Amino acid sequence: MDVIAVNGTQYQVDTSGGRPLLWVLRDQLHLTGTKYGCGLALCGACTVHVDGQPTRSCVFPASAAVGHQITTIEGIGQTTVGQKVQQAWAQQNVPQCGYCQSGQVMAAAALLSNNPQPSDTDIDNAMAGNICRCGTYVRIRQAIHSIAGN
Amino acid sequence: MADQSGLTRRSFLQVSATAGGGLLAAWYLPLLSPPAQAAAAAQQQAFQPNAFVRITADNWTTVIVAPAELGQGTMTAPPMLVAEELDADWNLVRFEQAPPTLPYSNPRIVTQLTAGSFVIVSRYQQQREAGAAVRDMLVQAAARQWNVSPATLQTRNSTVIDPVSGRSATYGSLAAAAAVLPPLLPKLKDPKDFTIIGQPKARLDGAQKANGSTQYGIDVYLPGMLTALIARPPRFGGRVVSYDASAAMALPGVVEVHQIPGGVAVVGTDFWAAKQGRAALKVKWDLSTAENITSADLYTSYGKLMAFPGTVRRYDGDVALARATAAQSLQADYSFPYLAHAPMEPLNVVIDYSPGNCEIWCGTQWPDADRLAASTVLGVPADLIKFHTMLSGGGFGRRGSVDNDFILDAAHVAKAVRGKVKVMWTREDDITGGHYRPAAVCRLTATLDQAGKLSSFTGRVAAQSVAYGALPELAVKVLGIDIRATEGLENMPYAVPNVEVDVHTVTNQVKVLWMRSVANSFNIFALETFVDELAQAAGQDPYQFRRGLLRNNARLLGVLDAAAQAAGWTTPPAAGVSRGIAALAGYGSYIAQVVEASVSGGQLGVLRGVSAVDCGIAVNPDLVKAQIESGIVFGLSSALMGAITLQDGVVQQSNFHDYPVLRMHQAPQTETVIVNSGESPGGVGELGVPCVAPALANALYGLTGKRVRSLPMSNQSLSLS
Ligand code: FES
Ligand code: FES
Repeated sequence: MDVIAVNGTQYQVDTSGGRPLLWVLRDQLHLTGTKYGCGLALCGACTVHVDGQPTRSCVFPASAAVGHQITTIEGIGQTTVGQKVQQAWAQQNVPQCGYCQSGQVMAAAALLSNNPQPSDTDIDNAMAGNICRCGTYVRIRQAIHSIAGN
Repeated sequence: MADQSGLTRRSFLQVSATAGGGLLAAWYLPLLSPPAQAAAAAQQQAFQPNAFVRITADNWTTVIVAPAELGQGTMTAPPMLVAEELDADWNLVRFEQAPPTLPYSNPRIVTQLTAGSFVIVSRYQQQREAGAAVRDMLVQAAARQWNVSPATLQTRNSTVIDPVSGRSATYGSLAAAAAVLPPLLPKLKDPKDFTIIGQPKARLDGAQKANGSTQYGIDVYLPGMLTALIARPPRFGGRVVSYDASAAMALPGVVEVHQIPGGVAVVGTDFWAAKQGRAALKVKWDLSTAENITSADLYTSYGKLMAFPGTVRRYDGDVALARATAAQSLQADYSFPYLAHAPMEPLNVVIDYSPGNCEIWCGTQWPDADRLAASTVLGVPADLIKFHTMLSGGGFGRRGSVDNDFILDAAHVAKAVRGKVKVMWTREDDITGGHYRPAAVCRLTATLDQAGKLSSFTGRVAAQSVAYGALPELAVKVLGIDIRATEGLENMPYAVPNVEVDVHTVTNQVKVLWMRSVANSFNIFALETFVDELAQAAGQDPYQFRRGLLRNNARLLGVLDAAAQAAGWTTPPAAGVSRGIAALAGYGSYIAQVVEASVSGGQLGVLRGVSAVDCGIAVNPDLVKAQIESGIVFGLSSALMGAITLQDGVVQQSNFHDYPVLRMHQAPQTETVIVNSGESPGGVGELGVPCVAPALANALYGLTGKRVRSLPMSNQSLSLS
């Protein structure tokens, strides 16, 4: 048993067998906002923040999370940036099926925290790892710009 | 719409009769069964006069939504229809997913399939009637309380108002009194009085999808629930001979291994255990009769069929005569690969098959069919299975499985486990699991007469059939979705006197299924790029050439003109940029799209996608636009990079690295113009998909001088920058 800190709370979890953080969050903590999409760091659906850095939790061993601050979609709304992203997403009808959007929100929040006025190229670079099969890219870009403009 | 509303009325009458509400015998909206009504009432003192609307004392209106939400906005648009006629306060409206019971069947097909872009088409009248009827009951209740004539009362924002005395009462406060009144068949609003329909309202599920709290099927966790993964044969049609589970069972967390008809299920305490267990499982497969095709050979064999006539789908005039007198003849062959839907949420089913309980949670496009399929395996009558249709992380057709594959597999696992189990699919299972958009080869021919006019057109398609026979022919007709492989060609919109369209229905063991825009996804590519070739042969501008052939199709002509205008068709594009155009009538709607692209050093840039859409009354114009934006990305993913290929029967792709889809930096800028014809609503879920690829290919011709005859374009050394 290991202890990991998720959204400011300490949890005792089983990190054995190389269990990725994603499956500890989902199957043990039932923090289901973080999604499984590919398991190979290809789609971004599982994006969480490890000490503020966007990280693909499907390939990040849970044991490596010990001693670090993990933030998930359930916690990001506590930050000013996270709250703004979530509000802009809802107001501008960004989500469609919504399944990728936890990851998109986490990636966008990390981008905007580091770079409050991102250019289109900055957005492309920060968001290229997050697939949206519903094709909400245009609105994600608009929503990020709208937050940057405020 | 005339025969359609007739059908609606009839199916409702049937429903009322079986639901047995003697009290409301003349009532044509589906009723809740008496026990369900009692339960709802007991639960929250709710007023629920019909299957779709519930009003509670706190003045909230809950709209019970029958179709499945896959991303298209189903939890928002039907509630808007109800709220409009109910005069509900939109800020006090919420949604709830309906169970898979008869009152919630699609009124056109009497099953609860969500497909074919027909949620709004088929529910527009029904949902408005549901709202209007409830409004009428509330007005009657207020009129009785105040002892005035109902005709003198008004409704606004979930409140009944008496303008004479200034009195008002909220719907919530009238609910109890209204519940005992007989519902009537009230008049619906004139569209000019709409205050909610036509507004770009925010999605009711937008906030919860932005904060991760939406519960999809994959998010269901039950106490003591196990997780299973299924080892499936490496080739379609393979079967288990034997298996050795010793290594798998030796791993921590692996608790059971069961053979089921579809393969071998490894059951663990969590996903990770099941995944490790499946990797350690050894299965001996019988592949003696399994599929062994290779994609290249498949195209060759389909191509050979092009020389022979197939089953005729359309036969107008005399093509042979037109050919004999033609000034020019053109012919082109096209080939298209299998495609995987790859919804972001991999398939999954949770079943609680414990003694005395049978309950299923599943994101599906066809919950009643899936429940019935599960009942045959589990031996529990379908209506005793509690079935929860979950919001889906995408579907695109994959969750409307004609052979009910994922639910049957899961039911077999649950039957063996006899407890609570989540049956999961990895992304690899999804990409290799078949149920693909069929591969296809098309041959198009046409002739131009001495005057340069299009005098004949033929289309021939070779493909597997996705679902022919799965739905009764009548249902398919009424539904208006065409699941035939010649969709898009046999109903092509251009005026030509002589037309022949035929089809070769090919069979093999690769499982195929409808995918977003079905056969339009390939036939419209062939047709709309071929029309550009014809325009060139006729020495005309592709836009003007189409105009000339669409004189009798005002709505298609309307969107064609609107798209050309919005894209600035008549002003030349920037240096190094080329434009292409394509158009489609389908799903009761009309679309034309213009794509701007550039190429440098083999790198293709898709810069801009301009769409003009006539979907009749746009219930929520912002969600219409969202669907078109979505369709563009989906269509481009397929056209540019999508291909499932087989080598000796083995699928060669497995995840997003070798089955890529469009990403943020590859998506074009989009603009969508809604042309408001004021007609009844048409569908938009698939509408944005078919034209974007041919419009792009037509733009590319202006840059490369080459016609694209096979997809994906990545095979022609054009990759996306
Ligand atoms: S699930 Fe982690 S990147 Fe796709
Ligand atoms: S909203 Fe469906 S995958 Fe992005």
